Amino acid sequence: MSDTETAIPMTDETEQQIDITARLRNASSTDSSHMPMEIEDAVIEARGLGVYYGEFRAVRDVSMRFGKNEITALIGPSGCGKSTVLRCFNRMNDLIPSARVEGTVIYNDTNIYAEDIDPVEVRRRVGMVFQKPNPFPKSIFDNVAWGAKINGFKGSKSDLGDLVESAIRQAALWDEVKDKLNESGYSLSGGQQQRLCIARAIATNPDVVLMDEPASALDPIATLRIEELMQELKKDYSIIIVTHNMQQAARVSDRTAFFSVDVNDAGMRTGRLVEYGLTDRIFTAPENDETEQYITGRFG
Amino acid sequence: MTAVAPERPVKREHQFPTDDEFVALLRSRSRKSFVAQSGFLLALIIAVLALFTLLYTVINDAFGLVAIVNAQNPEDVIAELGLDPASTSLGSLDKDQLVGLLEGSVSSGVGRRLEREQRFYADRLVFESQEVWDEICASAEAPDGCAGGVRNESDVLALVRERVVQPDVIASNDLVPSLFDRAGFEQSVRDAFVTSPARFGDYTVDQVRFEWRAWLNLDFIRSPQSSTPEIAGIRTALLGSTYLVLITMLFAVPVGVGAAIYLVEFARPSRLNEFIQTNINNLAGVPSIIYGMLGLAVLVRTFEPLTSGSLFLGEGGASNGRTILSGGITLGLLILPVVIISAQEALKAVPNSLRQAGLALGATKWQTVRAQVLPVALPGILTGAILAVARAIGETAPLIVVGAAGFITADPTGPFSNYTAMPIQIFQWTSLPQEEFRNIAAAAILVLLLLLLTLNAAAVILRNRYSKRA
Amino acid sequence: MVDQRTHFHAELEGLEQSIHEMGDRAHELIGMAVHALVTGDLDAAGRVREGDHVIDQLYLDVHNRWINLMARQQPMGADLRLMSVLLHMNVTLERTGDQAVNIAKLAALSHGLPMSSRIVEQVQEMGDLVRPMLRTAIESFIRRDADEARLLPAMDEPVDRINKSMYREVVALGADPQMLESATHMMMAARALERIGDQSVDIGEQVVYLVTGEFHDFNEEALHDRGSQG
Ligand SMILES: Nc1ncnc2c1ncn2[C@@H]1O[C@H](COP(=O)(O)OP(=O)(O)O)[C@@H](O)[C@H]1O
Ligand SMILES: [Mg+2]
Repeated sequence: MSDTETAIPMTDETEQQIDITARLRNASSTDSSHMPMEIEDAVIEARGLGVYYGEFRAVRDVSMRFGKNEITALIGPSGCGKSTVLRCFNRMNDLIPSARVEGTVIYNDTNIYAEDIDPVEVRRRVGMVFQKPNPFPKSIFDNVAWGAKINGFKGSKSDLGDLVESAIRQAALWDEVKDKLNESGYSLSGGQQQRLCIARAIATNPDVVLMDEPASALDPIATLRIEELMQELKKDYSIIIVTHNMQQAARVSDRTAFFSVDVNDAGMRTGRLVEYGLTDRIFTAPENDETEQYITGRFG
Repeated sequence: MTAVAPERPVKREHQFPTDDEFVALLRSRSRKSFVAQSGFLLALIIAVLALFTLLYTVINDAFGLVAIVNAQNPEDVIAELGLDPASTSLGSLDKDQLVGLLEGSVSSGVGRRLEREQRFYADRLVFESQEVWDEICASAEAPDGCAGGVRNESDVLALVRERVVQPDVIASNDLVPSLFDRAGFEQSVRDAFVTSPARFGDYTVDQVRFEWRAWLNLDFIRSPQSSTPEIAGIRTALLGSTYLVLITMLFAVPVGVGAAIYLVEFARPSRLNEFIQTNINNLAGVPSIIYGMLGLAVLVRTFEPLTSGSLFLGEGGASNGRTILSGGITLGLLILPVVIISAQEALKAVPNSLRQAGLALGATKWQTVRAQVLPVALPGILTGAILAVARAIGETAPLIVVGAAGFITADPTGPFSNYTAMPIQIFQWTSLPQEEFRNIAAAAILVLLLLLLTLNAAAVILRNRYSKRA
Repeated sequence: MVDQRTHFHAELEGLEQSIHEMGDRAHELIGMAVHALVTGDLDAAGRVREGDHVIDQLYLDVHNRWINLMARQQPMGADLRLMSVLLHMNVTLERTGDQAVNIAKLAALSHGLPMSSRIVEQVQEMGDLVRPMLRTAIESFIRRDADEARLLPAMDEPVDRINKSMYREVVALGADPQMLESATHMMMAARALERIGDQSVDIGEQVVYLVTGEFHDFNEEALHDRGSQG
């Protein structure tokens, strides 16, 4: 780290919010590999992020920024806390009673963990796609329309139809479902269901789409379709994807963050961010030995 | 983190049985498997036999031959009208002929009473003179017949059977012996006339007719309770049970489902919630009579103004708290834990991924539960609720405690009526000495079973309909 | 079937375009270098060096893109063969460019020296033989035409022959030291052109591999053919 960048204060939230843009610029002048300086236009920034499940510290000290209209991949061995970190970005960890988050997550110049922030508000802006396709047991149309409706969509009925169509088109599913919008979402194949879930996520007009191993339950061709789709989506959205599939991270992402686990004396396994950088570099010439060992399969 | 070559797996040949040993072992394993399978089959056979025996006894009692003495045999009546009894029956007579038969047979006092209950014709009176009719209808206590409609042909036919033919069952026989040994039954009745003639009053053996009788018939369902088994019916108890079930459902389903939703969807794990959960589970196992005690103490006594209706209706309410409302709520409390638990199970069976999907779209918890979780859980919730209600219909003990009447002929008219219920009616009939009460008890049991079957079928249909839609 | 990896395939095609460009530039440089040598045009020699600089840049760029594509996309089947061929051609064409520079350097060294017109003619002829070879190699690659690529060893034979006869011609000039110097330069240029011919044949081998999936060493085959004839 250069001398302009000292340890990031992570307790005093109010202080952090005073001038976020100035801080972003300040931080961007470092040459740390954890914080690549190229990201001027960060959509989400984690600072000193840590997560506890009860007494168990699952992840510590994650500080990183996510670029606008980029795909950022989080990779690392199982249990290193990738999903845990991802869930911090739309406060899905709130649903786990034992989970406790420390540090801050800045979105839109706001700490989404500030007291006066309602997680419901965050989640509309930061959508999520899950590992297993989980369409609602409703029609394809309703699957996509529901998110807009509950978020107070103001348009007319035909506006809603347009919204649904454009979301499904963006999810590259339109041609396959346009004649059966009233059929159940369950009537689709796994890959189609996952694209339906993506359509559903973008129909609420989010900025960021979080994806937690979105293709791990799919066959290779369906996986490739999702990956292609992500390339299209990043024109309009910023995407953060967790994947245990290194090759997938290599294929789809612009930047890759590698997480690893430390085991302390008590046997407690705590995840941490090891290296973060452009995907090209991470997969051809990583700076960190641990990363190198992981991507070459010499890990552990 | 250095590369470590994986340990070479060791083949543990010697620790496994040899081929010969294995064959022997396999034989003994197959034998054990066969024994277990036979045991389960035996259990199934016992269960089926028990069920079959139950149905057999009930049906055996509910149908069979009876020995009847009619005051007037139908053939004679028809012959008197100048018709041919071989080609005509009572049922094929028209209304005017039937009313004529009544006029000829019943006393004028009984006729007037019948007419005051309900008129025979809209345009003319049969037993009553017009002046008297106008007078009593103008009086303060006008009988039902002044306002109500007109008896139709089948009503009159029933009256003719009851008042003109006046069948008196002097002996009845079960279904199976009736089928296989009709002669034996007839002989035993004739013998009884010889051995103990006192039993049959002034009937003679020549008057006795043997007929098939289904104790379970439409009249039985339509008629009110009576102390004469031949004309006693289940209507009062059926209506009572229906009202009870309605109140039970109205109370237990919303409260139970609401509590379940709170516990599954909203409550954060805490000591208190754990405690509540344990207690709900325990309450499901509490004997029903204890709920009866609770109902008696709280609903019938403490909240008497409420449950008797006197709070709302003043003097118009029941004289005490032993009303359908008390009974229904008592049964509701009884099934509440079961409703809660089954609703909880149905909610827990909804995959968590649906909740996450909803919340991740920016829905509130309630929006997610209402739009995504409840529709999926609904068939399960309803099935559980219906099965619980079915259990309530069969409950007897708590109703006895909270004061369902044993003998009552007046139909219940609302939540504040006194009432009786089917299982209580059955219980009461079986404890009476006349043989024919045993028959109508069996018929009532069949009605009860049919009702339960209907409810269970409804549960199945609901479940199928909803799970197909998903 | 729909292409499920359009982004990867677009990048792969971009890579191939760069190789085409390298081929075109190398082709052009050879002509320019031979021209500089036989006419003593030093400007042309300078332009050859500049041209090679561009090829070197392309080489580096292709290398980086190739590495990233390989690391990130895990190509399979025809894509994998193409990747292998592209890497090989990248190296080969970069060397072809270097040979052109060598010839251009010889042009500068030979500037002002008297020359045997016979030898110059022969070098000129080699240049005229080698350039169509590279053209054929690149075209067969673009068209994925294995048959066309298989013509290359035959095209290479006259080049080898002239290169060998060159030695006798130069020795015959042994009496005149001034002539000998320029003739030696010419021999080195002929050697460079002969190498370029070999490189074209190499590319031809790659094309056959790309199309058929099997690798054939044309030289071995040529030896074998000759053996069976004899
Ligand atoms: N809901 C939870 N409750 C308790 N511990 C959890 C929970 N979710 C994850 N963990 C623990 O946190 C660590 C990180 O998990 P996770 O974020 O799922 O890892 P990854 O996605 O990298 O495989 C693991 O040790 C896991 O056991
Ligand atoms: Mg995970």
